[in-house]
Amino acid sequence: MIRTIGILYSMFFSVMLYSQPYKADTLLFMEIPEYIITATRSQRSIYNVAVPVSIISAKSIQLTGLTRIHELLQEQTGLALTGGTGSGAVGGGIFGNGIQIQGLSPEYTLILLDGEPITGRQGGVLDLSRFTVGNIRKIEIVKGPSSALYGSEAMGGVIHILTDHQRKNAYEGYVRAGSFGTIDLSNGLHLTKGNTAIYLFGQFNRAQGYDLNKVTPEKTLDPYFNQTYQARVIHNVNERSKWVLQSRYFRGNQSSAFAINDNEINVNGSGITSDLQINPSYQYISSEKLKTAFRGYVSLYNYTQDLKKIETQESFYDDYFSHLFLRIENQTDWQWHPTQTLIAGGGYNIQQVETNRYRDVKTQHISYFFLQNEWQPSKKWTLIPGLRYDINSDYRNRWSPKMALRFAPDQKWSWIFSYGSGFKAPDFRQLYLYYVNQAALGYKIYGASEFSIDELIRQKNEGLVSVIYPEAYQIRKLNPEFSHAINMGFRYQPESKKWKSELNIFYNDINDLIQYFPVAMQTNGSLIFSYKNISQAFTTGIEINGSRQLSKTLEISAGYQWLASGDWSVIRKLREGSVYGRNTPTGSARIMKTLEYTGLMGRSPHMANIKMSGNHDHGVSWSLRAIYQSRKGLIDLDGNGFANMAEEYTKPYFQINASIQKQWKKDFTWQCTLNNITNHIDEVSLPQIPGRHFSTAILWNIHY
Amino acid sequence: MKSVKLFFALFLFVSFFFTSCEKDEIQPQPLEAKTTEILVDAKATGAFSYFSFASGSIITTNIQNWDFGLRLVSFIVNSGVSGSGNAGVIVQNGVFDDIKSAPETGYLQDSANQLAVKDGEWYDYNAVARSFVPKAGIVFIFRTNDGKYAKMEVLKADPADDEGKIVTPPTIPSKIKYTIRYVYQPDGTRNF
Repeated sequence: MIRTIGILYSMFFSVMLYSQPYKADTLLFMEIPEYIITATRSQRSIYNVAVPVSIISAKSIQLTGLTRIHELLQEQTGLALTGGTGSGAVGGGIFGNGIQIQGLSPEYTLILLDGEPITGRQGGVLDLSRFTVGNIRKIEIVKGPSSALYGSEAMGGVIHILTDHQRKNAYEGYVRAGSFGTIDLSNGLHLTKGNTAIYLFGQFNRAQGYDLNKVTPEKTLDPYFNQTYQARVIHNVNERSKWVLQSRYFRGNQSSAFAINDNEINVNGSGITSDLQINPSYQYISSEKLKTAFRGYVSLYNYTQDLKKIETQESFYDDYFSHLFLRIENQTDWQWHPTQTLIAGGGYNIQQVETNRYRDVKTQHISYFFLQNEWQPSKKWTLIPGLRYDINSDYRNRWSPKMALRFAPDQKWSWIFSYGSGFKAPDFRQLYLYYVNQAALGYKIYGASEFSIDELIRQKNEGLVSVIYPEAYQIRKLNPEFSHAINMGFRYQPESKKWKSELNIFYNDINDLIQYFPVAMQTNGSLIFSYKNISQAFTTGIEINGSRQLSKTLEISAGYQWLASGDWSVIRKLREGSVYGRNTPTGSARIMKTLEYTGLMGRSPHMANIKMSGNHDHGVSWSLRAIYQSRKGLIDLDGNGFANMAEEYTKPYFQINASIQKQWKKDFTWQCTLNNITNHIDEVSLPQIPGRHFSTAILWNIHY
Repeated sequence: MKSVKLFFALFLFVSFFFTSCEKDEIQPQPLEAKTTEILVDAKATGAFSYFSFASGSIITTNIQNWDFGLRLVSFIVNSGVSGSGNAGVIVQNGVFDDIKSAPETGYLQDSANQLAVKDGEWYDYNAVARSFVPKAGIVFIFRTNDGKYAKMEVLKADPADDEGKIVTPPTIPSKIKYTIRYVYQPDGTRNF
C-alpha cells in the first residue's frame, strides 16, 4: 500500500519519494539520484533522458555545508555565477546573483521551485541568494533550450529546485554559525498520519555582511536578515487521487548605507524583498496508462527600497516593484501504445506588475499548449519530439519545437542528440519601462509598449525634443528573443561502474536579442531610448565531466567547459575593418583584426572544477572542491563592444572550498567548513564572494 | 642571365630605398599630437567649458575665441546658435594618426535644428551601468575659430569631483574629466 502511494507520488511532483535520510556508507558524487523529472516533465531515469542533465543530490549539498543556492551552483561544471551582492543596492549589485548556462545570461534560464516558475526578476536576473538550501532534496539542471516544455526563459536551460519530502515522521534541521556574523537556523518537521502528510519548514539566516574594499566607506555586502517558511499538506483521497497544497513565504531585509558625494556614510535605509507562493494541485490516475494533474499557482513578489539622507531625513531614493503571477495548468500523460507515451498540457497565466518606474499597473495574459511524444521502438532507441505554442497580448506569439534522440547500443554507451528552440519573452522593463533619470544624464527610457512615434512628434512640436532619429520610425511590436540549439554527446560507464564520463557539445544560435537604442534627442542634449530586436549572437562549447571511485573510501570527480561566443554584427564589422580599439598605453585608436575578437562580455572561455570526497569509518566524511574560471570581459572601455585590453577583463577566478563532518548514530552530525581558502577577492566582478570564511554547524535528523 | 636579373632587382630595391629616404627629407616635420585633460560640468544643464586649440586649454579669458564647448556629453562648436564664431567640425570614423589632412569642405555648424556633433555619435552609453565611454576610432576634424585646422580624438571620459579626482558609483560626479589627443596646425594649411 505504502509502495503504491509512493509510486503515485513520484509521478508528478518529483518532490516525492526516494528521499532517504543520508547514509554514511554511500559515496557522494557517484551516487546520483536515479530519477529526473525536469527533462521530460515526467519522471524518467537519468540514464534514459536524451538531453544533457545534471543533478545535485541532498547528500552532496549537505556535505558541502554551503547555505545559498548560488554558492552551490557555481561549483557545477558549466554554470557560472554573475552579478553583485544582495538585492537591490543603488550602487552595485542591482542584479543579484544569477547563473549563466552554456554562456547564456541568467535571464535565459528558467528557475523552477517544486515545479513552478519563480518570479521577481530584477533587471532580468533572479536573485538566487533568496533561496536557502536548508531543505532542498535535489536540484535538477537541464542544459540547452527547453521552451518546448516550459515556454519563455527556458532558453539556456532549466534549474529545478525540489524541496524536501520524507515519507516518515521526522524532525530535521541545523544550526550554523560562521564568519561575517553569519547565523543560520533551519527546522523541518514531517508528520504523516493515515492518508495525510504534513511538512513544515522554517529558516532564519542573518549576516553582518563584509567589506572587500576598505577605501570606500560602504560595505560590499550590507547586513541582512532572511526568513523562509514553507508548508505542505498532501492528502491521498484514495489510491488513484490526491491533493497537494504547498506554500512558501520569504522575507529578506537588507540595510543599505552609502556615501554620496562624501567620504562618510550620509545616506541609509533598507530594502525589503518578500515572496509568497501558493500552489494547490490535484492529480488523478485513471490507470497505469493514463493520468492527469491540475495545478494552480499564485506568486506574489514585492520589493521596496527606501533610502534617506541621514542628516536631513529627506528621501534620497525610493523604489518599489510588485509582481503578481497567477497560473492554472493541466498536464495529461497517456501511454497510448506500449512504446509511445504522450504528454499534453495547457495553461493560462496572468501577470501583473506595478512599480514606480512604469506609468501604471501592467497586465499580461498568456495562454499556452504543449505536446510531447516519447517513442521507444526498442531498448536502444528513444525519440522525443515536442512542440509548444505561447499566445499573448504584448508581443508576438511563439512556436517552440524540440526533437531529442537517444541511442544506447549497450549498457556502457549512450549517445544523445537534441535540437530545440528556446525563447524569452520581452521582459517587463523592455515593454513597460517609463523612466526619466533625474540625476546625472537626464535621459529617458521608454519600453517598447510605452513608446509611440506620435508622442515623440508631439514632444518635438512642443520643443522638448530636438531631433527624432530615423530608426525611431522603424519601431514595431517586439519579438521574443529566440534561439535554435543543438546538443550532442555521450555518456560512458564501464561494467565495473568504477568510473564514468560524459561529454556534450553545444551550439546556441540566438536571434532577435533585444537592446535599447537612442530614438531621439531632447533639447537639453540628453537622449531618449527605447528597445528593439537588434542583434544575433551565438554561444558554443564543449562540456566534459568524469568521476572515479579511487578506493572504497575515496572518490574524485572533475569537469571542464570550453566556451566561445560572439555577436554577429560585431563580427561582420570586424571583417569590414570598421571596428576600432585603443593602443595601450597611449589610448589612441587603431583598427581591430577579426582574430582579436574575444566574444561576448562576461563569459569565461575556460571553466574547470575538481572535487574529492572521502567517507571513512566512525561517520567521518569530508570534501575538498576547487573551481576555476578564466578571465572574462568585464567592461568595454573603447566602445567596440568587446574586451580587448587587459583592463577590460576580470582576474581569473580560483576558489578552494573544504568541509569535514562527523556523524553520530545517524541522528546528529557536527560539521566544519572552510571556504575560499586561497582568499580570492574580486570586488568588481564577483563582490558576492567574500574572502576566506569559516563555519561550524550541528545538524540533526531525528525519526520518531 | 640569372645574375643580371638579380642585379636588376637589387638596383631597383636600392634606388627605391634612396628615393623614399629623399622623400622623407623633403617632407616637413610632422606635428606632434598633444594629450591633455579637461574638466567639464557633469550636469546636462550645467555650464559649458570652452576649449581653444590655439591655447591648448579651457579658456576663461578672451572668451569669444573658443573652438568647441563641452558639458557632460554635449559638444558645441563656436558657430550658429552656439557662438559668434565661424568654427566647424567633421566627425568621422578612422584612425587618428592616419588622417594626414583636413577636408576642404563639409564642416558642420550648430543650427537650431541640429548641433554639429550629434549626441550619441561619438560615445557609447550603457543604461545599465549608467556610464558612458568614448568610442575608439572617432576623429573630430575642426576648422577652428581662427580659420586653422585641428584633429582630435577623445581618449577617456572619467567621472570626477570638482578637483578632478575620479569618483566611482554610487557617488554622483560633479565633473567629467576628459582626456583628449589633438593636433593643431598653426600655419593655416590643412596638413597634419
